[in-house]
Amino acid sequence: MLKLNTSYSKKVPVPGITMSSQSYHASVETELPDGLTPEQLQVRIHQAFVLVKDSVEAELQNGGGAKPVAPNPAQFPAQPPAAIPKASAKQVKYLMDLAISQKMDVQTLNARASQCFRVADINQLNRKQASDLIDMLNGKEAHRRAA
Amino acid sequence: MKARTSLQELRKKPHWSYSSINTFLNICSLQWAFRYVYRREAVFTPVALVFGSAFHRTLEYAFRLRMDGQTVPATAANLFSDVLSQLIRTEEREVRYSEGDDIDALHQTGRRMVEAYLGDSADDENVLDVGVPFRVLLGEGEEALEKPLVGEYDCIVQQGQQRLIVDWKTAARRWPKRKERLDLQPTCYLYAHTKNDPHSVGFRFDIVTKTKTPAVDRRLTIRHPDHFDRLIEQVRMMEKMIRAEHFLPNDQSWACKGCPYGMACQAWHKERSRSLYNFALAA
Repeated sequence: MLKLNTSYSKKVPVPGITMSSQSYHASVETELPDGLTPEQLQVRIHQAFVLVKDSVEAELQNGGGAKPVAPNPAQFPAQPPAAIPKASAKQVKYLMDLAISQKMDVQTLNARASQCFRVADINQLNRKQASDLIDMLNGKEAHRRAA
Repeated sequence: MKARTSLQELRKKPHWSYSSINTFLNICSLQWAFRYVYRREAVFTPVALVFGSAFHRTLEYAFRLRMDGQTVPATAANLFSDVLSQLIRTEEREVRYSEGDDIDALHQTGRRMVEAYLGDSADDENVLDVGVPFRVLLGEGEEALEKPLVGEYDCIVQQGQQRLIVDWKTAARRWPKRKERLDLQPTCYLYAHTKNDPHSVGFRFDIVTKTKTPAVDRRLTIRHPDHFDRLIEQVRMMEKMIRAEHFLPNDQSWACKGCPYGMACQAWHKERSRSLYNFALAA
């Protein structure tokens, strides 16, 4: 699990008092799912940063948080459904062992993954797809269909 | 037919394995403790381990075909490369190469070894089973130890009148003479077989060297009941040593060079790792 810490602080002079400053600071810690692409990660960081920055600015505008600020959905859109993480190393290894135990070589296994999930090879599978492929190789799919 | 329980399943419960017993008795009890008791994270995976896994998986594939009377394709050696690449890719720790190793050379060596071994197989040998997991109690009745012995035979073959457990090994060079006589693995595996199966069985190491021209060396060996009694007593004593936290570094071991707990070992006498001891984990 990835953790994202985002913070924003701003110092402003206190009106009427020379050589003074008041500091506003907000920070957010959030958890991110595994398997995000660099682009998805960048979007999440940007969203979190916009949230803390706007919160600080809103606090400044509204005089120390006297008025609660309604969240702006445009600035912090609803989270897209969490991306399904990539298949774990254990899953990929298990897939390979399962294939070999069924006299299937790695290239045939990759072809099977490609055929079922339109991926280049087993390394491109996500966790769900890997789990489904394991079930298929274990014959669980056939059992489910028969049931 | 009842599906047999996989090694992966058997390993989920507390158990002894040949590898674990051998590490404690013959390699280094402190290395054993770092792995099984203190649960230290190994900082790297030696490439020899990954190489050996790829070799095993390739032979497993080939022998499963043979078991079903199918011809092993001439391209079987390609599988070695595919599996090696895949294992290196999915290895969670850093794969550490030995001095002089490079990945291309390893691919070539492995492929040559697979070709040498598959080309050397005896014609009168029938493959009976491949990748056979086992679980047996160490000892009898109330005297039996709490944790069973768990493992997997690489292959079982019938050669003439003799049934053999075959274990595939890779080695940097030829084994010394009579190494098979003292090795603990045949003792563990033959003990397990004796307890589970009335058929008399022998044990054979099939060793393939990682040399430029790989050599295939087959070493037959047997064990007697006295060896089994000795094994059980050794494990019983090990358990006492573990409870008493008697773990010592074996500073002159050949295994130090490739030990993934080298840093922890260097600090062992300063850090008093005993404070990390967890009896529940060791039980």
